[in-house]
Amino acid sequence: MSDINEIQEALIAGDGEKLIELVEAALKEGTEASEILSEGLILGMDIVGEKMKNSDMFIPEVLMAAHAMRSAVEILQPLLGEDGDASRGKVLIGTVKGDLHDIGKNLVTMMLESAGLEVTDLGVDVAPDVFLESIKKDKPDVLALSALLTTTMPMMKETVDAISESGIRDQIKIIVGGAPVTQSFAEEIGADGYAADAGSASQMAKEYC
Amino acid sequence: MSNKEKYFKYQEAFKWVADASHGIPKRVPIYAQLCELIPGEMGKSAREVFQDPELLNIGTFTVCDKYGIDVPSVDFDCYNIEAEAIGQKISFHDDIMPDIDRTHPLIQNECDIRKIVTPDFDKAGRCSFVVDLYTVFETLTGVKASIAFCAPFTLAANIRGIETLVMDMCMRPKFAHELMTAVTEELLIPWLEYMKGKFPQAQALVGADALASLPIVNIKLMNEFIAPYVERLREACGPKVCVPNWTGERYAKNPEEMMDIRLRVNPGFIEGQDPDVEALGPEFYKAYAEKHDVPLLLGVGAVFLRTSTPKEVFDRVKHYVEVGGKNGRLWFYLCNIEPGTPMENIKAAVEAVHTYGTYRE
Repeated sequence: MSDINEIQEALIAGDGEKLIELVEAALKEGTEASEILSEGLILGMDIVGEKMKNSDMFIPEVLMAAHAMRSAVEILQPLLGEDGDASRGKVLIGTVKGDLHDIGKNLVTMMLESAGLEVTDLGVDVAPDVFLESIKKDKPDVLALSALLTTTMPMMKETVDAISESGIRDQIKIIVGGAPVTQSFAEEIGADGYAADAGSASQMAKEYC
Repeated sequence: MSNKEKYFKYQEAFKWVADASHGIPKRVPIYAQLCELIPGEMGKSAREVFQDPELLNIGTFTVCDKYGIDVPSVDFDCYNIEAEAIGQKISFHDDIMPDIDRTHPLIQNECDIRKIVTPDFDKAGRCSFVVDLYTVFETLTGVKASIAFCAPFTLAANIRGIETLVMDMCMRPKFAHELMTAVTEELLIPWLEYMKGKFPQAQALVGADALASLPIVNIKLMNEFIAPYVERLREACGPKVCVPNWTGERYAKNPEEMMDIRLRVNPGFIEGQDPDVEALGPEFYKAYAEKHDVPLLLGVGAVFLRTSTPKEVFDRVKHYVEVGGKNGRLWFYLCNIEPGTPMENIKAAVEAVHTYGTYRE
């Protein structure tokens, strides 16, 4: 297990080169790829998320850790097989219609992917019917909606309403976030959760998956 | 009364601003970032407002008068101008401010750095709109304007993509420095010199740099990649250049360390805004300002203004003004007022400043 701890440490430090060396060494020694993934990388990213939430790490460090994680997953992916799918669950994410801001959404996407979640990013300016179509097609566990403008916040409600009216509301959890969004607004529009930052969004999505 | 005479009244508030910079003014002057309210107030589209210098000025004055804001500052989408001038695609909309089209960053690879060349500011993008904007402001108010520009880091982020730029700084530092050097030397220094030529008496050249904030960046990047390029601008274009709006010190283990970096790029005053002030308290900012013998600008937050009750707004502003305005040297600021903010909340903020920030009738 010491190798796994070292893998976690290299990941948290964002040291991609060292991480790849350690992952390759662990594989050579016979450690299962699935164990490296779940015990080393995904748990390592959980620690990264926790550190970010506690302001022990900021976005540059998180980006470096996520980059290192992607490099390591590339090595493991061919060895995982169908049962060893890296995904802990599926998340659909997008910025609501009328809103073109994507910085916050992209950071959340990065955190979600790093947490081992499979993310479909619909981009910006996404209409309720596009979200709905994608939910029906991909059956995600969580829908994450982003808005930066007060003028586009009502579109979050329209999206939630469209999902409710289609009769599939109970099949998906909805979380909302963005600078003007608040906990009370999330409750008011019938969302399941409000995330104040990327780390919280990731944590919440993991709990819902 | 002509428009010109009508708006000369703001000169008194600008005198309070000047007085508060070194002592006790008649009253704590109130600024507000309110340009997002102008389209609704003037019954025009954002597309029109942000391309019409007179409409934007008159809209600013109209909103200021409606809510009792003392000091009109002509806000616009200042993050876009220099990027647009070198070819970055900008999206214009009817209902929201123009914004960078982040799906098409100008600098997609290292070779693209050659796209950063000094443009002809008389013709490029909306540079002439900005010149006209300040010309109209100075004509109508009789006050010398403070010129807004996009500071090096946020400009680089807007033409490269913020995540990509941060990764460049972490993994390709040589290229990141080349990019920051190019936006500083080829674009911003010539642009600020051009604006200084147009407005030689400008009060300040104020860089907007919201992305250079925690947790988007960290202290190391601030020291190594962000502050030095603002210092280079100050060296090249003079001490009127400043970048006051880095935020996020509430995330720092040692907030004073970040304030020290902020002071390097904005030595003339200290700015604190919610949610940092909410977290650290106005006492922290006042003590820091007094320690460094500079005036203080405190701002109450946009989300707080929109979602609180008038009493909550009044009480918070009262607290900030009582603490920050002790012995004067305070300017007050309503951060980016969002459409949908209750009018009574803005008025409550203004009333609290008037009640607790008036030093003499």
